[in-house]
Amino acid sequence: VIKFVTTLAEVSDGEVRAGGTDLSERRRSGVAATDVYDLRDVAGLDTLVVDGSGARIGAKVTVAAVGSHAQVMGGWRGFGMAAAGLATPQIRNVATVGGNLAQRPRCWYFRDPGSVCLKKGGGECLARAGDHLYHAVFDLSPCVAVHASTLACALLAYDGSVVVYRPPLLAPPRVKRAEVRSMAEFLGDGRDPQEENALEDGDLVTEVRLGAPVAGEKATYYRAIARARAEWPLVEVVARRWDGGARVAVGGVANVPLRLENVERAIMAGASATEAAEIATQGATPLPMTRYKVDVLRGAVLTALEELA
Amino acid sequence: MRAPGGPAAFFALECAIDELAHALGKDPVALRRAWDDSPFRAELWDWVEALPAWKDRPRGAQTGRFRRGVGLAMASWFYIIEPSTQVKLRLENGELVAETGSQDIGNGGRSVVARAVEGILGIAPRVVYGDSDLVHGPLCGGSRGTASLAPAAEDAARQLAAELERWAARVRRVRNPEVGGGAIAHAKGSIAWDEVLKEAPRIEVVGRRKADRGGWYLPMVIGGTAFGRQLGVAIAVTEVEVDTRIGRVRATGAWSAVSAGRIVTPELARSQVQGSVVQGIGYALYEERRFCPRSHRMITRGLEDYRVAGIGDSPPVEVFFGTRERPEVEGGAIGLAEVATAPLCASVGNAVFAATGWRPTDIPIRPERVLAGVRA
Repeated sequence: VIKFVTTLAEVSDGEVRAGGTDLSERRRSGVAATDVYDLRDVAGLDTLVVDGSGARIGAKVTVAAVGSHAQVMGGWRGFGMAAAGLATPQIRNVATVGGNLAQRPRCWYFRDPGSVCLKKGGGECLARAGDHLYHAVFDLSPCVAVHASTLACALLAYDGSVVVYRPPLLAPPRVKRAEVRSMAEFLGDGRDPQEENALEDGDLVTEVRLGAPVAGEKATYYRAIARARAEWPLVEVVARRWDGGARVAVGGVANVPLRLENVERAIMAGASATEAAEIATQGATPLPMTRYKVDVLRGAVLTALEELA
Repeated sequence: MRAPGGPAAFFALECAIDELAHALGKDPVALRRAWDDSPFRAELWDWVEALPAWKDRPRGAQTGRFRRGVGLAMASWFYIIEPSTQVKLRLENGELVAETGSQDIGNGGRSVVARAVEGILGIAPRVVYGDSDLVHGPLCGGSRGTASLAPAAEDAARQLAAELERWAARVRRVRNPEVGGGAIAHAKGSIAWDEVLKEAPRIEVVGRRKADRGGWYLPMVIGGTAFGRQLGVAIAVTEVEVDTRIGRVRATGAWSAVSAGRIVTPELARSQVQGSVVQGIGYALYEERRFCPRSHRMITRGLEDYRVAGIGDSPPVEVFFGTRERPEVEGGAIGLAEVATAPLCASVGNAVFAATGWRPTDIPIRPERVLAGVRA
């Protein structure tokens, strides 16, 4: 790993390949054209360990392995369901946990090799002024593409963290090379339209961590999609409820997954699922074509909370 | 894109007729039967009216999150022939080989040739396909494959049978030889096919696709393509479940009745119709080519953004083939793939109306449209 990140640090640009489900598609279309640094031959990063303190999931563990892991499903059901519910079986069998977190957004302008959008250094967000049927409901960034990572949404709901390796050359003296970041730190403030997280050049996600399971917790994942499978969520929800606590995070609605603390507080204060779902839409700033997603958001949160009741 | 323009056209027409039936308070089947004089469709209507899914469909207003509805629609579609279609049949080196320069992209033309020859000789040839050096075969498209290939293959098989009968009479000196059932029967017994293959001389014949009785719909053949004088007909019945909370429509059952004359390869014809239904559901619910309103660039560049129906979106499909024959058509078989997909969008739209009382007027029937429609 150290050798790999050292190499990464020495190149000006380059992308890390893990499962390749995102990168290969962008390379084929021509959207990505930099060198590829393949994690295939890097030893380790592929174990999933569950013990009394929680779970440590290597960046190269496949999404399918997480989604079918009995202990993960037992201790962190919402996270396991999210892994089992995203994309397709073929994708899940190849895609990795680290790759899912670091993948690029699925905006059709960003993916079009002939369009130079804000994310690719252009002057404006082409979706904002153009076709944004599947874009943001909470308009938090100049770029209105939604964050693509389902696992980031789930980790946000589980107060999970990410281990990031920093290249030694860039690491300040006496700072450990490996750094544990909360999901909020990992995602950053989302203000930079060119970035979907706070990783810097040369950073490598090596591990995802979940704290000890909460006893008696009920949790679920709900993905609002129009087709049965194989679709990016219109809205996705990870919800948890336990004696004395609640967590709700949503994806597909903004340039970062959002934790809905106002909904959590309402649940704790005894609000009904319907009332809490209504609160989930507070502060929504839909674009002209995404007004329907406010309804989908309300419906998705309601469905998830009903499942916990 | 199958049956170009058809799904959208029948969506408009057949949803309007459904609306008319609703406005008049009439049964949608009874209303259509009152003016539909197609003898081919009559037996399809009988089948539809006997379907439990149709007879016992939910009626009246529903209020829950999930609402079920059953809708139906009909369609007619022309059929196409390539009159220059040929099938060459060779008996050589102890093997029977059929050749034609068509392609098989999963549509099963190769099986049609094998089955048509087998129907006459009682033995299936090895079929060589997909090479433009071979005799002319039809392209894949426009529901023309079976209707073009089967008669040409049968013509070749009949010629080969005649050659073999001449050989049997002259060389083997048998009386009244007759090819069929994988042997040459004659007055005093039969010559087994293995023996025929071993002993018969090299024979090569070329079968042609003769014109239908009464000719073509248009007098001329345009670009190698002729339009037949008859219409394939179909009726689609679709059951949907509408999730009014997130606006999702899901097809939960489909029944497809098609009258296309003789069905040459029943199992492949059935799977063609099943594929047509799945594709039709894709048109109704997911597929749309979108262009940026400013740059006019197409932004649905791949299958991630141009959404097609997947296996999880495919309901169980029951298929019924009308039995009415088409003796005017050479070979008796006409195309069925396009006519089977043409009424699907409309049947889905009518099912959504039956479930929700909201009439979709745009396809695909996506969440934003359903939510707006159901809330209105």
